[in-house]
Amino acid sequence: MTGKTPKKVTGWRQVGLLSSIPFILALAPLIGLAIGMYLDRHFRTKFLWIVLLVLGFVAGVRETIKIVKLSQQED
Amino acid sequence: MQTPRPGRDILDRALRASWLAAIFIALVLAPSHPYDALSLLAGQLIAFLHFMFLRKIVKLFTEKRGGAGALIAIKLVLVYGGLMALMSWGRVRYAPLCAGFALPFLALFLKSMMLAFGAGPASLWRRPRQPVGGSGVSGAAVIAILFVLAAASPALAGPPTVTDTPASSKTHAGEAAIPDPSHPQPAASAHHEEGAAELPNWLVILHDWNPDNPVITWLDENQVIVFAWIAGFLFLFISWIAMRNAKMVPGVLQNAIEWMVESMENIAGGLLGEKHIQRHFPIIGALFFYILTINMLGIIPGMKSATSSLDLTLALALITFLYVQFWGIRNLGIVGYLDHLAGSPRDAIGWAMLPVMLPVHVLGELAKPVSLSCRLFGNIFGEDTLIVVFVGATAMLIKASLVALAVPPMAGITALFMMLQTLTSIVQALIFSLLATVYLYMMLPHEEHGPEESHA
Repeated sequence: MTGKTPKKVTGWRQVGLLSSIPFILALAPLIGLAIGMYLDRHFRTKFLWIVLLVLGFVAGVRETIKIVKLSQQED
Repeated sequence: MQTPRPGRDILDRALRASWLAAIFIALVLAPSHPYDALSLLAGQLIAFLHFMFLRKIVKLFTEKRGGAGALIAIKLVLVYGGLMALMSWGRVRYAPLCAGFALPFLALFLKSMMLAFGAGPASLWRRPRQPVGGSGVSGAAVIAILFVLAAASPALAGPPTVTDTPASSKTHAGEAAIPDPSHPQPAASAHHEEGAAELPNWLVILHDWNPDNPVITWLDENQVIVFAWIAGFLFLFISWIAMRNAKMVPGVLQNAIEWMVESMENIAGGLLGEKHIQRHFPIIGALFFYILTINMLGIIPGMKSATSSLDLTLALALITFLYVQFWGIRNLGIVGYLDHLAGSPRDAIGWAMLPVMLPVHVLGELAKPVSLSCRLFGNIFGEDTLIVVFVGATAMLIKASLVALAVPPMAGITALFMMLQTLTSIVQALIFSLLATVYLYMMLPHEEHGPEESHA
């Protein structure tokens, strides 16, 4: 087994990481919304869905930044 | 070797392609459905603004410059406020708005997949980083796919007046493309709840032949599980056949299997480092080969890719998620893991932000497996649907006595898509397992592994 990252691995890793950005951007707010709606129903509140939607959006952006940084790391 | 970052260029081209597609579709829709066209363009505009702001924000963050907070606030007001204002306006239709909003995401995804053929793993095609066709090709591809899907959807939905139940639109392509009024659409068809138009597999044929048999009915209702089992047993069987008489000078099959395993171990080992790969390769390798077998199974006529169901891909992603979290807890300890989840607060501001950062981290961790599963499902389901559409269109043309005109080009296109399906099956299996490796890498202690952790 090689101890060094082959060039093609970096390419595939970039493909995988970059292609996950749209999904994470779209899904993080949706997951937040789903959890918020569930919590709203559970605790009989009416505002948690929007709080978690915004937090989901922030989480998506944060993950995107992490992914961009990770994909820019060279060997 | 330093090369220009492809990310910005890809985003630009994806946005251009999505604008082209949106304008074209809006022009087609405008005469008959003007509000739909406007809603589509509004969705596209909102998504465009979303990406433009996001690019600025990411740039500010990665270059560690100030002003990101103000930009985020402007973005929240403009993009989400605009979206809410649009949705509260009665004339806007939700479906075209969502379609317009999704167009840039789709274009970006297609573009990033095109990295695989051009600027990404150049070694695959021996093509160094060079543009492959520009936005025109992608835009044309998006438009063509949308048009084919739009044109074929009424045909796939079956006769609208016979049985106007949800089940009637979820029949198989063979039945749907050539509607048979004598077929009473019995309860046999009502169990395909996923809404997936797909080519009939052997279980469907078996069930249509004997719809009253409870065993066959059970098997047909649980197709995903059955085909996942078949793939699992096939995977085990091939491995057993190849390795039952392992020799120093291997035979053809043993050689092929060893080459595949070693290649995958090299790829994953290059990311994780030699120490960690020994421990984690069993699950990474199993994920890759299992998904590969499942995907490849769908190419065989009469079989089905179980990964074209979100249930299985979510289950696979859940396994990955639990495995990664388990190793996170094991390596960091409970306290260290909670500290990691809370964003490692070290000062008063960090502790003050804890109630916000904890859910943000948890949501981010949850988004990873869901994005893994949605991508795998979306790709495999999309491939299957594409082939069904072309097979259905061929059947329709044959029914219209246009055999000579229809069959040669349509068969050629279908064969082309099936070849593409083979390639995508491998790529998706590789990407799923590689991303699982990357998520594991992000959770493992950084000072111990691989060549890449020079960062603080």
